[in-house]
Amino acid sequence: MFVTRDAALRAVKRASHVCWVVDATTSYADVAAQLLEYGAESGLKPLSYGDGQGTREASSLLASLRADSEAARGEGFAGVLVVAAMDTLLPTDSSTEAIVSLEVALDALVAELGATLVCAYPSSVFDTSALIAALCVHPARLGSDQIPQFRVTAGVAATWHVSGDVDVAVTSTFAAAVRAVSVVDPCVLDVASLEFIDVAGMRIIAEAARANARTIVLQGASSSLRRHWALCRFDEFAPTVAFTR
Amino acid sequence: MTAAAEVQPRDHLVQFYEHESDLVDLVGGYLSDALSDGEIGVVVATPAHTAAFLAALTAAGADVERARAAGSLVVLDAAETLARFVTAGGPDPASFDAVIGELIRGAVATGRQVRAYGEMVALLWDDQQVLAAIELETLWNGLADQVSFSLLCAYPLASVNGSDLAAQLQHVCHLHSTVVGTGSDLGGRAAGAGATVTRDFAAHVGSAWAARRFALETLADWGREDLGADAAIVVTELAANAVVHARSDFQVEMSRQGRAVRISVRDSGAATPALRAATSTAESGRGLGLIAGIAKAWGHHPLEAGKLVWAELRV
Repeated sequence: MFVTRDAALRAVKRASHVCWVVDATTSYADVAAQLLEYGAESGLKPLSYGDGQGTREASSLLASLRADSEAARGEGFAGVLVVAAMDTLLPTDSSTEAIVSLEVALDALVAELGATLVCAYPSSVFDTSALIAALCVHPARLGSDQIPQFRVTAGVAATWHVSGDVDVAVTSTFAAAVRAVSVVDPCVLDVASLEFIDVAGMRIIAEAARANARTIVLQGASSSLRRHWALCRFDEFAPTVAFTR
Repeated sequence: MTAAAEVQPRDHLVQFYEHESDLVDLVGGYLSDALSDGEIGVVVATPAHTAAFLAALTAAGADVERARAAGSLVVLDAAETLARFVTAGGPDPASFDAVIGELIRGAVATGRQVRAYGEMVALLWDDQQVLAAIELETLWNGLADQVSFSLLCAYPLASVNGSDLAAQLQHVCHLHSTVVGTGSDLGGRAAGAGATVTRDFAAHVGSAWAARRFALETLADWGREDLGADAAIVVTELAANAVVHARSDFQVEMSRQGRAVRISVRDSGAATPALRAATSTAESGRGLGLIAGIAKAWGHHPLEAGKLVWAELRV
């Protein structure tokens, strides 16, 4: 999907963590240059990750973003705007689990640092399932009209927003996202915007809590979700899952 | 179309007939099928209609006297029966239960399916007791919540057509699972009761979302958004079973009768759905357990090619 300069700028103004699906209709170099130019005009230090010079280790990528953000503030910038070529930063055979795990960590870090990060995923490199998985864990998208069926994105105060519909079509991606966000204890999931979750989706949350006796707080759950959870006896299976308003 | 061949337990059908012959054809077929299938037929009608129905049964080869003697055919006078539970204030629920409820429960207790035909509602409507007719329809539905039987009601088209009681007529339609023989003048007022709708879905994981949307849109059309959350998870679980386990295209049918909504899913899988013991530590097999907990009733039966699983929601 062709990306105009306006569309690119709207995306980064809407959210600080953008999933950009790059296809043959758009020049990566041109759009990346427009984004970096906007960053500079906005008082952000423009940075480009990838292009064969980046790391393929997720932990190094996270460390680089943190270090570059701190350095940029020391240089008088308000923060950083990074355009990342994910095909050169991720191992070529990256699984959905790996993509989701990395992006969840990046989402939390972007929120913490006040950074702006555009993750570019070439559709020539990443298959549809990988692209959809990436879209599910970004608060904004560019270059794609694919609306993810659900989203898990970082909120304030270490809360994760879960929205949309969770069913058999997205079970594996949702599982990867829940595993990634539940590494902290307690893990707070704001599910007020979760329109639907099936039994398998509920079980994913229950198993994540049960696996390491972790506390998972479901904030803003609908009365239906609470009732269905109890009918499935997940309250007994995973007693460390708590419901709050 | 004759509804007789398509009657299922707990169906509540209504016919708006233009000609007496239409009524006799439909009810005659309805009762004839009941007798042929070893069911019990209960008729609450005017003497003239009763005579016509019995003549139709005889013409169809039924031994009417033998059926009545054996208790397979019960005949009551509509006006006399009405007088036993309708007062100046309308139908009395307790008296209705004592008269009609006891009759139906007694028939159901024999273990045979029961098909009832009643035109008491039409007598009330013709007597300008429209609200009483609606109350009586509601009492019939309440009885159907307790015991399983099918009910066919009939109104003369001339009584309801062109009247200024369109809202009340629409209400009557919504109290039924199927409207039969709307007649040209009745048009869209009775149509759109939309008591049964079906849609086919492909064996694809994305079909669970589509099936859920279909269920929710249907409930919205029926004014039953209150069942949305439960219907969504029921249809999603059954759809997922079809796609993941049966690996089959599937069909979702939504039907309603009174306050009940039934969701049925047909797929080509042969495996019988099993309600596993919902122990607190079980890590799988909770989907049907959830359905059993949500639904007022649920079940399954094999089809010629595959199976049907259904769940009835009711508030």
